[in-house]
Amino acid sequence: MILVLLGTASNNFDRLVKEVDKIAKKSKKKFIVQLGNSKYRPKNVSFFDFEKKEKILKYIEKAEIIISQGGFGSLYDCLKKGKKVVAVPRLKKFNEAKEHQKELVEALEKKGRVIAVNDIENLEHAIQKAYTFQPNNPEGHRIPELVREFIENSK
Amino acid sequence: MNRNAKVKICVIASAGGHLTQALRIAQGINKNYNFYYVTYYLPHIRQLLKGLKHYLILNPHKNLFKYLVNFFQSLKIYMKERPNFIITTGSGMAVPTCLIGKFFGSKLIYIESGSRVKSPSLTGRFLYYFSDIFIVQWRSILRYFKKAVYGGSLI
Repeated sequence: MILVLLGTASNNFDRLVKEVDKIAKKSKKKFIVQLGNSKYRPKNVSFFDFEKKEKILKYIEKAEIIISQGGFGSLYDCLKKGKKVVAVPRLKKFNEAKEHQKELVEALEKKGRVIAVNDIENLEHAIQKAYTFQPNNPEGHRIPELVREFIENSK
Repeated sequence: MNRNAKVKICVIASAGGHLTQALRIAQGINKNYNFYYVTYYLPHIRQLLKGLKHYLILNPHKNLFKYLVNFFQSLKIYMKERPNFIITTGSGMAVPTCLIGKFFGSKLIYIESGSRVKSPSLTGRFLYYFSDIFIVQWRSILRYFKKAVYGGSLI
C-alpha cells in the first residue's frame, strides 16, 4: 500500500494529487490518499480529507512507501517510524504553502533521509527508487537534555 | 528560588507543528516538574492535550486587536500560574506570554522550529533578545545568533 499525506495546511496541493491519480491508474498497488484541504477528487485511489491522528499513524505503519508533502509534522511522523519517504515540498510559487517546505526537504535529502521531488514529473521515478531506498538513521538531538540542564543549573 | 519547591513550567506554542515539537521536548525532559500547556484551538487539540493541564487562548493572526485579547488572556493565566520557566517553539501567539514572563522574572527557553533550516523565524529573531537560552535545530541558523546553542534536529 502506498500512502499519500497532504497534511493540514490550508492551501491546495492538487499538483500532487493529480499526478498520484495518474500513476495509480497504471499501477497495481493500492493507494490511500489523505487530501487535507486540496480540492481535486481523484478517481483511481482511496481517499479521505482528514482522519484521527491514531488512524494516520496506523496507515503510516502499514505503508510500504509514503509520499508526503514537505511539512515538518508529516515528515516527522513518517521518519520516526523509519519509513521510506518520497517528499514533495509544497511550493510557494504555486501558492501551495505559506512557508518554504523546500529547505527542510533538501536538508533531509542531503542527509539521506528522504527522496525529494520538486518537478512533479519525477514522482513516478522517485516511487520506483523508493522501493530499494535505505533511509539513513536520524542523527539524534539533545534538546530535552539541554533544557533540563539549563533548568537545573538555574535553580 | 527555593531549591526544594517544585519547578513550574509553562509550555506555550502555536497549535500544529510548533506544539508537537514543544510536547516532544517537554516529554523528553523526564523530570518531576509541574507543566502546564498553552496553545489555541484546532480540531483534535483536546485529544492531543488529554490528561495534560492546558489553557486555550486566541491565535492573534497578526491582527493587533487579537494580540490585545491574547495579551490579557496571557496575563491572566500568567498571574495565576507564575511559572519559573517558559518553554516555547513559537510562534506569534506565544510572544505576549514570553514578554510578560520576562517582566515578572520567569526565565525564557526558546527552541527554533525544526522547519527553519536556512533562516530563522520572525518570532525567533525577536524573542532571541529576551531568551535566557536559545536553541536551534539546524547549524545554518547559528550564524544569525551569537549566543545560540545547536541542539540537533528533532526530526
